[in-house]
Amino acid sequence: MKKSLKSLLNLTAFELDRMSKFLYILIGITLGANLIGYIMTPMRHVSRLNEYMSTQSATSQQALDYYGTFTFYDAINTLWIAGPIALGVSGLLIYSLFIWYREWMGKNTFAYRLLMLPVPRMQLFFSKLIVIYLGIFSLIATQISSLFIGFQIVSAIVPTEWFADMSALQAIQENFLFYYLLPIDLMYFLMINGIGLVFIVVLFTLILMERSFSVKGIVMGIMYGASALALTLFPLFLTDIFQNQYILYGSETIMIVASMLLVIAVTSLFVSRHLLNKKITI
Amino acid sequence: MIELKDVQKQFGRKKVLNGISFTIEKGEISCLVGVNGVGKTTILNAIMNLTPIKKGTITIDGEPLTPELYNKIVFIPDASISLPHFTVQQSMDFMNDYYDTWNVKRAKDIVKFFRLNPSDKLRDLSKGNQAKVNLLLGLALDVDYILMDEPFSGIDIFTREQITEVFSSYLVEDRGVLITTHEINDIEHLLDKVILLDEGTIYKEFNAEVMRETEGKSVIDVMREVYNG
Amino acid sequence: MTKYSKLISIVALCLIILFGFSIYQAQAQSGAPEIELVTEEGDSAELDLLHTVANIYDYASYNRSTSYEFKNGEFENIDNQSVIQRMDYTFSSAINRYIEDYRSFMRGKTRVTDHFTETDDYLLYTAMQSDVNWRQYEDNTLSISVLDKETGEEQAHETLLTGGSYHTVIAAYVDYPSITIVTQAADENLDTDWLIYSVDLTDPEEELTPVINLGLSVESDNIQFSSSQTKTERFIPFRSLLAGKTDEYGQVMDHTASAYYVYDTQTQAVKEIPSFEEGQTVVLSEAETILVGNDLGEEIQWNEWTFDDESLTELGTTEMATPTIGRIQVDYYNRTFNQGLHLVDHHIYAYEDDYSEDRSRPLFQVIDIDSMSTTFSGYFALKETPEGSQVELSIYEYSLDHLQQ
Repeated sequence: MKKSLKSLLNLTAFELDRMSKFLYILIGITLGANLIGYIMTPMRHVSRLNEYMSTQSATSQQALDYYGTFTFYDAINTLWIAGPIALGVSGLLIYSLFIWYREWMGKNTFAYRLLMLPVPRMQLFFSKLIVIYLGIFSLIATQISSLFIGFQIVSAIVPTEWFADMSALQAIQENFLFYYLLPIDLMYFLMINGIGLVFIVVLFTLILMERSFSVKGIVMGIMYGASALALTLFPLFLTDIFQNQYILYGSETIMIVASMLLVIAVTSLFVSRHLLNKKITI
Repeated sequence: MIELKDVQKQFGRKKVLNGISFTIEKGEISCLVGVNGVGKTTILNAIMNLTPIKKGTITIDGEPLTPELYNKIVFIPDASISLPHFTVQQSMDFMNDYYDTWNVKRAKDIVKFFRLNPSDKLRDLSKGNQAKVNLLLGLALDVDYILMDEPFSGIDIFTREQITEVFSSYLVEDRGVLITTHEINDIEHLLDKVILLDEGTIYKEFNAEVMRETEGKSVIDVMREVYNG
Repeated sequence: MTKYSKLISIVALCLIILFGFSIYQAQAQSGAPEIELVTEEGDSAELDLLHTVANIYDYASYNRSTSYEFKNGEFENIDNQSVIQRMDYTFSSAINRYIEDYRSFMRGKTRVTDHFTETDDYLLYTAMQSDVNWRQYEDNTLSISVLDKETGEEQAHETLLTGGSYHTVIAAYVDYPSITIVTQAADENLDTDWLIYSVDLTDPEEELTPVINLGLSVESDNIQFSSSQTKTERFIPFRSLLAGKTDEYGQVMDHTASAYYVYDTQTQAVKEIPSFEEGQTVVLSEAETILVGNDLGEEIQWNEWTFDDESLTELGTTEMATPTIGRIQVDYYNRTFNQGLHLVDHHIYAYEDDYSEDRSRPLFQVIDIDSMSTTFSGYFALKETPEGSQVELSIYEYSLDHLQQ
């Protein structure tokens, strides 16, 4: 194996090992909360129908006419599902800061060890980036698995005549959150992950600016972040600049935004490389 | 040879290093001396590219420092730089993963010499033993140059004696060593070169033995002259 | 366990689950509903001019909902388009065709079919500046652009419309180099006016005054124009509306057509079409022809009306596919009428959305006015209706590619 690839793999495996506990906790919370949702939501519906039948002396069909059938969509459109997703997103966002700052924090400054490794310093950057993305994909994979297991649980709880004929996939595809988070529409999935990737690359660059120039670095970081945001959104303001809503075709706007994101990502990588090689301070 | 030429460093408006130039040869033990805040650690950090310098050049055997050269030069800071939850063995394995120059046999020798237990976690070790692990992780590398920052700081006299033994052992033989310390008495007799720093510049560079023989002064005497007088 | 085992297992697990999910999804979705044109009478080739987007909406499952483009007598699922194509796609077939053929000309122009008129040689664009610059809604500047299809040259003018404000271009009729522009505008009291402007493209003026104010001319405060697929006709049919009953809050509940008129783009005169004793009036026009029908529901009795001597010549009677096809009820909010009835190349194209209890579908009928016979009658339908589905089939924007004939 090529030496540099081996060291990158080593570093990535090492970073993943350091993140694993945190990731397992997020996965555990996701599965736990989802499980509660898969059990509680259909049970509440079933008990409502049963209660209606007993208090109103109604038939099963009358209860169904009153409350309607239960779908898997009803089970997944709850906070028990959306909550862990929000927690996962914010958790990984905070971890993106922590993954760098922990090297300088505490009694042992591990940054010494990392920066003195006989490997290109950008490998530190890439290993941390890969690990954050592995965290994201692990949570997505967990969510997908959970949904299919959840469908079985919900089908077992709700009597067949009260359970609407909607497959797990249909329910997932119709959920707004999953439409953007899971690989349902490949283009959306790539777009959202692409934007997310650029966001994390820029965030890492800002952290390295702060680590290199401290307070001055924070000001530089804010300016850099604001410029990156302005550059990304710039094509959307072209219609105002040209005073014409139709000056660009939709495909052109998207391609310009994508190019801008690419420019920002490449620039950030070069800036980060420069900072890591020449400016970073222990 | 490690060569520093006109190295300048500033923290904000404060000039910490102001035109520092010296060389470290292989097979030579040199010591940077000076009061606190004079810039000793900054010089070591600058050599290892851990802090950027404003001006000047630093070369290792004629080349600027590149990642590959970390196989040739090692820096042992004054505090533990391994992960606290790692055992001594895991710390060694980590080094072995990345450094071509990691010498397993020598590492075993040093573990034995310092009487360390490989399965102990670093966070459970005493300060002295943590300093020993730090030395172990640096000295087990087959490098040409070793930089050490205050290796005796905050450790008991017995550990200090054990560490001092290292300097007269094969572990530093034929290597260029640059050390900073306040406990100069312990190793004064081993030093080839003393570089005395004052206000960001080199005040004096001398051979400790020659100084003792010709002027009858110890390194501490010279320091007293500079800082008190 | 090697140091890579955690890394390898997490990567493998992610890959297996993500790819597995994608493959499962692709397999589960292979059954997108297919659509077909069902012929009840005549030849389906008669409908080749129809260029539209058919939408399938399944209330039981959004995933079974999809859209097909109907062009040259064939359906194409728009989900099969590339991502880039999809981004530039509009739900107007005419606009899509213009973008595909004249991409550079279409840059910076609205995506409203009414703003374009196409002839064999030219593509004309007439829209207000405010239609593209949404921040300047008070602007009375009219943009006129003409594309010479052969040379690819574009001639652009800007002209100020006087006689009203907040203009909306309803249609522009071409008899190159002269164009007639119909706008709806507000007068100084913010009451609605319907104004007609005339432009000579060889020497366009910087400021235009209305040739006629149709509302004043026919003494009506409510006017609608006949929807046109060609916009090359000499005579523009329009009608005045009469407010019906008002509800308890004073809001008008329904409107009826009170009278039908024709505006002559050459003499700039307006004439009223006499109404029938029995049945509703239907007016269509093409080139120099004005077709007036007496709508009797199941059948329409067709006549040709001569503008100069106002004479009515009977052409014949046609059976209609349904008692309402082509005759959409009066909708006060529309600026045009006859959205389901057009006269192109001596053929009447009739369309309606047929709603029944459990489904809806678009119906089409084509009538040859020379032979007074139906040459096509049929509808869009699903090839197979999945069990438990509640499908609504409709079309987004009815358009006839009149140059294809």
